[in-house]
Amino acid sequence: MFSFRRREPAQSLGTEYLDTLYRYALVLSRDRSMAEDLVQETYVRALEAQDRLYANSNVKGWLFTILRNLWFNELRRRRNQPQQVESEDGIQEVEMLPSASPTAHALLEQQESTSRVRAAIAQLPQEFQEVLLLREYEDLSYRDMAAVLKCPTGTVMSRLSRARMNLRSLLVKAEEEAFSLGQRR
Amino acid sequence: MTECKALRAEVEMLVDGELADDLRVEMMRHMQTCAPCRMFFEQAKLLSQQIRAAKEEVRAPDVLRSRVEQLISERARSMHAVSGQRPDLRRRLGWSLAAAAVVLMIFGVVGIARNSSQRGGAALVQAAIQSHEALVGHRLQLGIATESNQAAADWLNTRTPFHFQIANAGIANDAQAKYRLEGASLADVEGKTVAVLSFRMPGEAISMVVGPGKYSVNKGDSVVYSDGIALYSRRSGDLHLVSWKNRGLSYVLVSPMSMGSPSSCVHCHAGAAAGRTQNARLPYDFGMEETAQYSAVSEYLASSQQGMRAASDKALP
Repeated sequence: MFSFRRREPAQSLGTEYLDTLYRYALVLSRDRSMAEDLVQETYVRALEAQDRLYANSNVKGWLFTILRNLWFNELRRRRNQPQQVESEDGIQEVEMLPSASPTAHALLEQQESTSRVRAAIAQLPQEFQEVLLLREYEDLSYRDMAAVLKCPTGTVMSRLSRARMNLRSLLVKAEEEAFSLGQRR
Repeated sequence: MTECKALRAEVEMLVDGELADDLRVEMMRHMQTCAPCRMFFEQAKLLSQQIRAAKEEVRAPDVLRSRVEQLISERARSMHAVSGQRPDLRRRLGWSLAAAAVVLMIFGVVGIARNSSQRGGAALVQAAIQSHEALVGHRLQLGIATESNQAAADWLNTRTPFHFQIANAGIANDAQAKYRLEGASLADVEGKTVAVLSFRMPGEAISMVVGPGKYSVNKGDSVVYSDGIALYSRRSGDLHLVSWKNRGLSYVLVSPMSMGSPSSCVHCHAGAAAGRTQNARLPYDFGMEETAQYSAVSEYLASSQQGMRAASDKALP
């Protein structure tokens, strides 16, 4: 009854977004193995649907949307399964997400600042990390973010604003702690 | 100060490059004299820079990379295998559909055309919603990306079985518009090609589907009259729809913004003060020529050609 018109030949999909998808998958899942599975499955789905792409498609936004849908399907699947208590050994630490505890005393000031920002971002709730990643690291517009996050652009804006506000508070707190630590030495 | 707090969303939009040109100039001018806003802007800019500077290079593991590369090359091989068969399939389908079209043209022209016009119903409205969601979700891409009304009209006029031109008068005047045309695309509704136009306002996507006047427009929850034309407004989930008929064509506008009252015109048109709507031109009155008159035969021929194209497309990998 209703269909979109195919205008141009489909684009070919390459690995140019592999690293960026992996980063996003890590932010969502916080698990390297899960992130790898998510990225691989994203490519499987994307390749299957590749012929629906147009020459000027926003492939990046499309891939992010697929990956996020897969992650939420996985979460739904997990919720429907009996809960298991995971031993500490079973929890895989993600290298790219730094621990909240300050470990950068020996680094230079610039590195300390970067480290503090990374640590503060890691303390944010996942939904705030996600919007910051999409906006600041991936440069997606509000509209593209809304498509990926499946929410109105107004929600994107307010979530982004709250993420920044929380991050600012965490950074102020971290700087105060670093200052008082320096005073005690 | 309270007013300035309300401007903080705009300041963040400015930092994110999401503020429209006129608002950006206005905001920059405001910040020249407003120290709190200027400070908030500098802080927001600094934070954005700090976050970007903290971006860590992440490389996908080699094992994942090689798995994905394998998937891509397997897919490319299978595409290549199928594309080798394409000309035969297309030719076969083309001839059989052409033969069917001749038979149907002789026996069924009038009946089909009449049936089609009666079925139109909510199809255009449904197409508008689906097109909007597909545009926002990147499933429907623009066939032409342009801010030029004329370029979009030219592109559409070579692809749609009806003629239209974009008006540039009244509140639809370019100078009054807060929205910006992004481009145009096409969709099929019951085998007929309709036009899809994409507009953008800061942070909001607006789209519009235009089809022949035989498509009925849904009566909405509210109605606003403008130059004697009834604009029906209703909600569909998070989206707001406005539909109307004008000069032989049917229109459906989709936006996340409420458009159910005369005062809502000011969202998109700088010159549309509340209460002016009754006498204002339609926001999207494209000033169509009275050329959208189709005979049953030409209408059917157009649908037959599209049917063949659609069937050929389905044969593609």
